[in-house]
Amino acid sequence: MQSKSETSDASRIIILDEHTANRIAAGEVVERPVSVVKELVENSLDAGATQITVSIEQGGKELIKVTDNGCGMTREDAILSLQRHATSKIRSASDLKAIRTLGFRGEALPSIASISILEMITKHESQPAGTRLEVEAGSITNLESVGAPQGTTIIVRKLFFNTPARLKFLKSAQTEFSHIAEYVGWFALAWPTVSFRLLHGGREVLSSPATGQRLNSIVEVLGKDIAKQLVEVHYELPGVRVEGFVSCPSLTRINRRDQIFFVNGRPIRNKIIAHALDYAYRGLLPSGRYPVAVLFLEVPPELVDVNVHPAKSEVKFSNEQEVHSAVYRSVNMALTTGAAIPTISEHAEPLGKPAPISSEQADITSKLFVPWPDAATQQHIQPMNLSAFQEALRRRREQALSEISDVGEDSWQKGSGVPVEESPVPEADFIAPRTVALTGVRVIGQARNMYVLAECDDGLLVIDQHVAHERILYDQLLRFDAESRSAIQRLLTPITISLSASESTVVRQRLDMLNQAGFDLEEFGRDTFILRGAPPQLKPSQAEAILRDIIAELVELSVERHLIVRSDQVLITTACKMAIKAGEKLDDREMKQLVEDLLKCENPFVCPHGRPIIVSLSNWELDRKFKRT
Amino acid sequence: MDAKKITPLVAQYKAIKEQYPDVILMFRLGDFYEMFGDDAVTASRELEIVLTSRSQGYAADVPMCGVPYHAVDKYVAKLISRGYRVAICDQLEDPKKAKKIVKRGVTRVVTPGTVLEDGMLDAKSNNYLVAVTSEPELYGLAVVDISTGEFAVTEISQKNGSRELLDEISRLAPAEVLLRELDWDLEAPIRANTTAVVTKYECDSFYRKPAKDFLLEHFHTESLRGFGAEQMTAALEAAAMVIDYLRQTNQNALASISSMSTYSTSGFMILDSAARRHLELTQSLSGTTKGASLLSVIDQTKTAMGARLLRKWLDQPLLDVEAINRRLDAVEELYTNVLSRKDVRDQLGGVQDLERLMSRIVAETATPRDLVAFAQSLKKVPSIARSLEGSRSERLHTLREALDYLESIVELIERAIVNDPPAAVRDGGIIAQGYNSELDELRRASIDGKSWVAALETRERERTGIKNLKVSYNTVFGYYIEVTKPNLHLVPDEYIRKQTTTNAERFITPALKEIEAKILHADELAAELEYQLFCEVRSKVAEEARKVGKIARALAEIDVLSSLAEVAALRGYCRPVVNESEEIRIKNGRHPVVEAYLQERFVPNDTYVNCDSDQLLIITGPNMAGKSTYLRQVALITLLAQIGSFVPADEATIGVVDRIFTRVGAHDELASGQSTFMVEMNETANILNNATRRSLIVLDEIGRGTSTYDGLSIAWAVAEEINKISARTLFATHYHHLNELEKELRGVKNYRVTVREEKDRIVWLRKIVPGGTDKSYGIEVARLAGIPQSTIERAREILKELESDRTSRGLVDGRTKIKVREETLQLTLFSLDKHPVIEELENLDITTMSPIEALNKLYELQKKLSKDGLPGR
Repeated sequence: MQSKSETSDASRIIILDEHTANRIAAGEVVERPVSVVKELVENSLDAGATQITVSIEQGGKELIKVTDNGCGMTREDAILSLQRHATSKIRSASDLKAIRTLGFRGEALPSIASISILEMITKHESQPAGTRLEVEAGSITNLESVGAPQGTTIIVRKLFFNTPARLKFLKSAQTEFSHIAEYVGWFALAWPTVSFRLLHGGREVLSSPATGQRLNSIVEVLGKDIAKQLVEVHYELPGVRVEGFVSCPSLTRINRRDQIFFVNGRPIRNKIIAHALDYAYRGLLPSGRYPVAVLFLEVPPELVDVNVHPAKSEVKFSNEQEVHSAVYRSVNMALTTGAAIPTISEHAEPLGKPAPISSEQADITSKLFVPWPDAATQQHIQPMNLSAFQEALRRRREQALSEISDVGEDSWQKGSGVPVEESPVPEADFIAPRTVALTGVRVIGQARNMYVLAECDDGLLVIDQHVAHERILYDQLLRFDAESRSAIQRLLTPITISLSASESTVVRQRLDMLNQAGFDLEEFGRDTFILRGAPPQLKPSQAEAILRDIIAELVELSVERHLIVRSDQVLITTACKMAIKAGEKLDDREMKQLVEDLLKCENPFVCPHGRPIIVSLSNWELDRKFKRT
Repeated sequence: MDAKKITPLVAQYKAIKEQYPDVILMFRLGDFYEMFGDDAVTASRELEIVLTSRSQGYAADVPMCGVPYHAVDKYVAKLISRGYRVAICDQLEDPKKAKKIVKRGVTRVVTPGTVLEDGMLDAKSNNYLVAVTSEPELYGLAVVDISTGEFAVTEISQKNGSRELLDEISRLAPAEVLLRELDWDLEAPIRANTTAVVTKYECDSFYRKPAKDFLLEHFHTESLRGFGAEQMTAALEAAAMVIDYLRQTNQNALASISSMSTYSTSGFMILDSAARRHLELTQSLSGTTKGASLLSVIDQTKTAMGARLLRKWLDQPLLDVEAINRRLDAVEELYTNVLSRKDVRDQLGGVQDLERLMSRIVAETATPRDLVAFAQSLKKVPSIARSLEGSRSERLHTLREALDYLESIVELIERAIVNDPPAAVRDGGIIAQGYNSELDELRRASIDGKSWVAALETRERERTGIKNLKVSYNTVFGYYIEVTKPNLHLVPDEYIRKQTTTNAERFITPALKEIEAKILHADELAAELEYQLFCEVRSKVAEEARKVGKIARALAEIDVLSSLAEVAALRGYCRPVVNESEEIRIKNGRHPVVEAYLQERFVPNDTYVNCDSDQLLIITGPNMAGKSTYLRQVALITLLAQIGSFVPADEATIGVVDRIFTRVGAHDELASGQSTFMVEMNETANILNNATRRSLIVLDEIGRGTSTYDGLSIAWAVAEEINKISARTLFATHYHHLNELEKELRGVKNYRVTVREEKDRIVWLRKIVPGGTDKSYGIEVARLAGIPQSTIERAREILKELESDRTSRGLVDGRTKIKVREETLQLTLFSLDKHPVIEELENLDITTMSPIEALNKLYELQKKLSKDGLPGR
């Protein structure tokens, strides 16, 4: 590392001259806890650390502690490091051109110290003792010798304690922490020779050991299930080298969150790379789905402008064409040759083989995608090829459904490293439904026996008939009263229902809710029940089957959660099983009734499971797609 | 007591109790297990249950107490944990069928070493029963764990008295030890060294066969050669003892012992009980909690079997370099291959304790849930094997080969038993539909009956015209017909009234009751049949015990290896180089337990020690500065390397060590009635007598617990002796005079712990650097501890005086200094013993001496004094 060799000088840190300092636009360095973490970790990396531990309390608002085993600082340097514009990393402006190290503005540590209570423990190998410094709002309050191993520990407490305005702008501890976790994960990916540990509230959230192999870091950060479906990427052109991993077409995401790019070890956003990636997957993915990618680019420093943004997350390439080409070709090669990720097995099937695309499918998909040469927009426009559209929608819906049941675990899984705020609804890249007012609604027709199409004053609506009905039924069940009770239809002959021991237990626990759901059910012997009546919405012949369906699902839920099924869960399941299914043809009257009933619901947008019921396209958006605005 | 007046029940009890005098007898009476007499008093006290009494006719009141039969296990467990043995006396026939009194007999004697029940066992450690026998020059030792089926024997030499035997017993940490009458002298030392219960072995029959024949019979073999134990007479004697004892106490358990293995303590690094304790391998020094021990830090196993195996590995580090490297290769492979390791560990998470499950299956105590858990665990085997496909290291490859998928058993269990069976065995609900046609028939009959009853409702409504007539069920009356009060006039005559409620009346009809009886009967038969079928399935599974044992052992080792790899990744350990060299070289070593529990970062230290140039490292420096931690970390790193684990350091080269000796801290052994100093001398003597060139010795302060000069001289002499033995040694001491040894002896190197004084405080730098100390920081430490300033000042004054005293006598030349010191020392010793001249003088009988004799004597004595100057030459 460059800074290590520089530290052989007598004075390792120098004060930049005014001129140089002015050349650098300082900007706002410290916005929120993740900015602090970023700066401190970059310092650690520049110090040549091979082990970095980040400890966080309360999302960083209470405590941020970064410990490393880098070269450390001498006592004199430690004091100097807290002065503005002091850096060991560049000497003058001309050095800016050859930036290889990550932090260079000399802003970070003094800035952080000025708005927090900072403690630093550091030891350099040239001195027998370490140094401990305490700083409050920029002035040193304590300085002493201490026994310590080589390296530096920086503890930042009570961030923004003296700038209440900025403190107010911070989000919840969980949100702030999720940003930190994301960033530390990126560091771990970019530096496989450094081991990273991240703790929150004493609990270990990420542990990525330094094995030197990028794939191992990916396993830790993104999880082993994703890691198993990645193919390796490797390509080089003069002026740019691309390495990394991309997903097989079987693994897709609903947005770009899992596309992580690095340039010279620095995590960045860049439209050129994103576009080249999309281009390489052209025809392989259903619309609205994005691949997972972790790409590392090496570009000579003089061809990259890193000073574009104060937070250094955007960069500009001088050689855009080459970069685009390199990324595109590398990914293309990986996908077509299906290079397997190195696993223990020599004989195992290569995991990376993309499914062969039939000519028919290729035909459809080629009609589906018109690659948009303008890198400014990142969405694809699909013509109304109905069957392909429906197919894509179906796949999308399946994915959305599976993601919903996953969301509980994935978000908190250590491996994914990115705890997400719990939101059962996956992000849609359509305009949020609530921007469209549900006035003047008129049914247009039914699409593929699955969706009811309607228009409203503000635009077009696509309504999922099953979830809509589910919502309607659920609301009805909730409003159970004497009137509804008398509406239960009697069965001609009572039916005896024999269940297994575990099923009986579940039914016994929730007999009250099943009754409320409209099933007149009573115990009738050991592990046997007698059914006398069913909800009026059901046909009597269906009653037993639907009831058994409900019971089966309740047993599953109770097993999963190891507790008594929540009472509303019984109703949700009942509503779900009783509702009209996708694929059922509806006539005009039925559709009208459905939409009418739906609009009466308190929340017509989301079903009890959390899935969207209505998806809308505002007039403005529609017109824009046809280039009318 | 008047025999005529005793009831038959009491007589039965007495007869049985006579056979089991030293044991708490639990006597089944109805729904309770009762205890009488002294047993009751003891039980009432230990179990905190009420003591009542019962008069037996004219006899005096006998104290008694009881526990409900369904909760008996937990009470028995409590008594066992307090060191008692319990005999369970059950009713041997169905009470309904008995003529006079129900036949009773002892079915089980529960002792600490023979428990099988899950609730009484600690999942992470074995529960050993050990038997010891002796022959001239040899001890025989047999060890068995019936919950896992392990059975091994060994022989231990008596050349060091009973020391080696006691070390091995304390390593095993058994729950119970069997001794014969003639070996009963071992009872006290065994109890002093372990927490085991010592039981006297009573040989059951006078004509018991010789040990060898006895074993041949049990194992159904022609010769013991297969077990490698043909010639080991002492061991075989111990083995026979164990088998016989099990026969007396827990017949069922015998079935799980299907083979015997032999082992030798000489294949492993020797660690005596003091070393195990001081290094806090499986227990911390402070208490019996497992927290803060080496095991707690490196145990990341996913299965109970793995946890037990890891504990065994920790207790028996290897000596064979190749075997160690085979383990290290496997750990390294799992360390670098994160994907495989995570896969394997994920799968292992779903594997239950196959060893103990199998034992219960064989002993016929396994429940339906046990079988399902068993099958589910076996199902993980193929995917674990897949994750290890293409492993390059020999060990992993071998283990993978051992993973057999017993498809037929798994399939049998899945076919026969429902997914979520109850815990009870006789209540039905166990066997799946379609497994047995007879059972299906019975169930159908039951269902049909119930449908008939349900249809009855509709029929009766039509027939009687009562529109809201209901047919219902409850557990008290069974099926009944319910008619509300307003409709009672419509009730037909054949309805029989059974119950009245506030708004209705409940009736039955003969037809209804007949069907109900049929249903109940079918249910009963079904439950019985299910029990039978279950037992059949269970026995079938039991046949595969040996194969399952093999698989379980392979899984356990895979678990341990991946746990070691996981720890290495988590804590940043490195792969040590293990070879036959004589050096231990560590770069930036850390104490694995301390660093895990420390809030701030651990300061690492290097170590270099060998058998000649850097053989005896003398480490001086103030207390609290980290000397002890440093010493222990070197021992722990060596030990970890020799069990095949990565170590907490940047680099390490370990030349194999045959034995680790520790002499650490003033651990008071008041309990055993010995003073601190005595204990220390004992342990030091042990070291000097038994250390070899290949041993590692860790000494933390020798010479405490006695006067300074004594202590220093003993420390000095011990150091010299160890230097002769050439064992690699780290010697921490506060006698910085010992620094002189570096000049005198080859191989001695001085080190010190660095501190720095700053203003008013001491900074513990925790770095160990070469060089001796010239200053003892005792006074500074006292000041930090809060000793009043005036006392501190005075102490400093006195120190100055003492030091100047010494230096004034010493000269510039270092050599002379030593000599002077030597003289001073010997003078001290001198002053303790009487000079021989004085002694002679004292003994002279001057009353009988003539003047000439007296003069001659005087001349002699004077000559003695002037010639020698000092005694002993």
